[in-house]
Amino acid sequence: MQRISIHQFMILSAAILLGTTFMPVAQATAQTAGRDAWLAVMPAYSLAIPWGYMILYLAKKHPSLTLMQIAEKLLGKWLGKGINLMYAGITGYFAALLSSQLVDLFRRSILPLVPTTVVAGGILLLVVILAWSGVEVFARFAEIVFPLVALGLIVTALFSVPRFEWGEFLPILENGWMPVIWGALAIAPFAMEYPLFLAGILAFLPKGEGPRLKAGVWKAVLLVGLLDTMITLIQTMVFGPEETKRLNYGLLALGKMIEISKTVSGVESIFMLIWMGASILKITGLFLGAIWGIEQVTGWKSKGWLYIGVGLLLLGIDLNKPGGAALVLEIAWVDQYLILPLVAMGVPLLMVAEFWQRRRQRR
Amino acid sequence: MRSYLKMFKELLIRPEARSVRKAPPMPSDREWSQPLAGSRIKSLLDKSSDIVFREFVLRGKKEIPCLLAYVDGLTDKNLIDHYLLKILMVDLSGAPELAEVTEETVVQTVFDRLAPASELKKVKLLGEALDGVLGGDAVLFFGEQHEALVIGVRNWPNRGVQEPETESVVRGPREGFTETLRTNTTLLRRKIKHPSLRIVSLKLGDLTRTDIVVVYVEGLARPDVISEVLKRLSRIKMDGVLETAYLEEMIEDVPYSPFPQIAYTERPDVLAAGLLEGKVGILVDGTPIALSVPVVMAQFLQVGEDYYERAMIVILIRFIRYLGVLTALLAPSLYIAVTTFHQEILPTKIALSVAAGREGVPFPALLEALTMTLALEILQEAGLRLPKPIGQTIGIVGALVIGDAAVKASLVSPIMVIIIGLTAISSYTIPAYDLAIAVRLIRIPMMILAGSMGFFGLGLGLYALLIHLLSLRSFGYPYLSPLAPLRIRSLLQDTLVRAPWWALKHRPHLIDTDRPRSGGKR
Repeated sequence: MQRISIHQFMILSAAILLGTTFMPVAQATAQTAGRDAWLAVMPAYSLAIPWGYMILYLAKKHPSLTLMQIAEKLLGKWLGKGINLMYAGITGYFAALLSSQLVDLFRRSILPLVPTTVVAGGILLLVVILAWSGVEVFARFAEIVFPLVALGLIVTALFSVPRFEWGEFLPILENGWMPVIWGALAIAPFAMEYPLFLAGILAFLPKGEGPRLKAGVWKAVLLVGLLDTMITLIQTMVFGPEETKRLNYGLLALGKMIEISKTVSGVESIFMLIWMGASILKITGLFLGAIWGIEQVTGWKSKGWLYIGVGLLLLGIDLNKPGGAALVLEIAWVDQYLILPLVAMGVPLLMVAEFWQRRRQRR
Repeated sequence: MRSYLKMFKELLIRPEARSVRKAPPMPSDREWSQPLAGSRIKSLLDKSSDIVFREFVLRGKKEIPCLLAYVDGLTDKNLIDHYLLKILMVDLSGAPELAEVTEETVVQTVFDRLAPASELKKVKLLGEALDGVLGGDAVLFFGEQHEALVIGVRNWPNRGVQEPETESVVRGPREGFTETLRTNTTLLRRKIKHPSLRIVSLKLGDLTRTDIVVVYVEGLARPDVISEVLKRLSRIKMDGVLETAYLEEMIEDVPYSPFPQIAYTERPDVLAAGLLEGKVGILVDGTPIALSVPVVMAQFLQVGEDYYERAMIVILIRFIRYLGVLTALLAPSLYIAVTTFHQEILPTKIALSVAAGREGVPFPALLEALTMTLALEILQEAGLRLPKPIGQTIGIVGALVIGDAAVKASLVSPIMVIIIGLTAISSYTIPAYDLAIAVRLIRIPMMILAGSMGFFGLGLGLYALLIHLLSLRSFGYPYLSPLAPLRIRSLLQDTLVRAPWWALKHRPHLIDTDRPRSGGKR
């Protein structure tokens, strides 16, 4: 049985939480929170903590089981299988959408002439190979790539400092707290994407390390919250709140504006390489989630053909998706109307079932 | 078709399950474990002109016919003549020591009183006697007794201890391993004079019967690694083992990776340092190359000299090496990607300069780079095995004459010559030849990916390479450790940088997680 360390769990959690959220986060929060968008990020990501804790509590009560297995155990075979089927479908579909978003990003920025099939195929090939290599390799991949992604974002922020319009920063909370709260709710589904991955990775976590795992969750939330806050802040300060609302891929525009010592300019193509790593991490996490869900529902064992089959299915969905604003809207729709309800209700439902069963056993 | 599929399937099976090549049974194999007899040995070996059979009579209570067998050239005849035959045939002929000796007691009497050799053992099996004779010992048979004496009189011409040409150092010991196994273990023993240095012997190769030793420091080497090494070695069944490379391919974890998963060295100090870090060494008779396991990728970028120079200098040198690896791997790909797809990354002046250099070149950057790389590889291969002066000439002709002519004929751009030259020089900063070749091999697909998809292709290649490296293990240890799984202490102690000796408080995390190293500040 493969196992990952506490540090790897923390990094994987951060990588899945971050994913490609640094692309839409500024736009999504600025829509309602305006110049105070950056204040909305941290509260939104904090939502991942209680849900993470609930899942870890369930894992403690049912060691070495995934949340899907726990669901079948607590809710009964058929209701459990129904929820797991929904989980596998939503997770897989969301992975395809994120892959499509990455392809769209490449098409719009640095590879307008390369066929979409090649880019999408290349990304999903990497995802399938990484997923097939196992959770340990995936965790080690995150250990190397995530710090690079974080570094890439920090470097982008640093090189944007000369373009800051300090007037865009103040006044803080001009319209009170309500826009900030609405802004936080707009990106709350980002935090809910994390339990989709946590549901499956449970079986690979070290045993008897509850407090350290909980610390891993809040550390990851803090890290990602800070990074996305920084990205939102620099976008609003460079472009202003109105332009930030309009730009679909504001960070990409920021990358285009960077020039290093009059030697290297338009470095978004270099940053794209790093951001590609972040996307691959998130897509692989969700891809694995879909595989674990399918295995739980059907009882199939991990086989190469299952990975290839799911990969091809995702490629088919990916290629049929429109790009640009339509894709961003669809991702937001899936986030708000599928992932948010599934996670926000599903995990507490399992907690209630757990408490109910415990109480019944005590009687 | 089915047989091809079967063959392909067999090739993909991991080594644990792969059936190893078996030699056809040799005539002597069947009798290897039979009770020995002098006459049988003679009949098995008498067709070989280098085997000497010296028959004589020992005059005891009765006359006991004896047979001494040894290989001419592998033994010290002076020892045999003066300290064995002379005692048994002349000095003690008919003396009281021998007067009561019978066929039943002769072996024990000679063993106890008449053979003044420090290395002496009794054998009862035909195979043991054959190993003794063919290994360079003299074997003494007594009549039809099923017991013989193996007398250690090995002595053959060998190369002296010299400085290895492939691992020369500015500062450090000048000695290198030789082709004689015992010399090599001696060199090692001179470095580690502690009873916990273990030297386990075995024989491999159905026909070569090559002596192999597994060396480790008990208490430092992990027992699971030692047993895994012995297990993998004992599984090997092949005709002959003439070099450590035979074993390397048979025992490495992933045979289809271009990356080396077992380290090798010609230097006793490097192997001794490895043993002190808890590694397990493998020495093979007949080759000066020693293997050590487990190994992580970072160790292929380190040399013994890193520990003989001052830490600050080593930090700089290591940084240059890491930069060299990246340049050797990525320089042509980056150039191709930038000139073909991402010209916007260059400021106008540099972009114009690059464009001016490429003016008149009829080929795309990818083809230009591939041709140049291929030419470079041919030059390297041509110069490698030629005598030094001719090799240098080939290098000069290749680099200066052909390169200059190609630029003048507008077949390649001057910048491309610079890039390929820089790549070649950078690849020489990689200390391990195995790793340098792997980098050379991977450079070409990287160039093709960069030439067809720009940075996206380069990213695909790099991430695929990273996944491959992350999935590699050397005897169970992750190949990219201590980077992933992350071990901050190891990373900062002796990987990215090399801390001063007084700060190397802990043994490498790879091997021993808890125990502090003796010495250093606590």
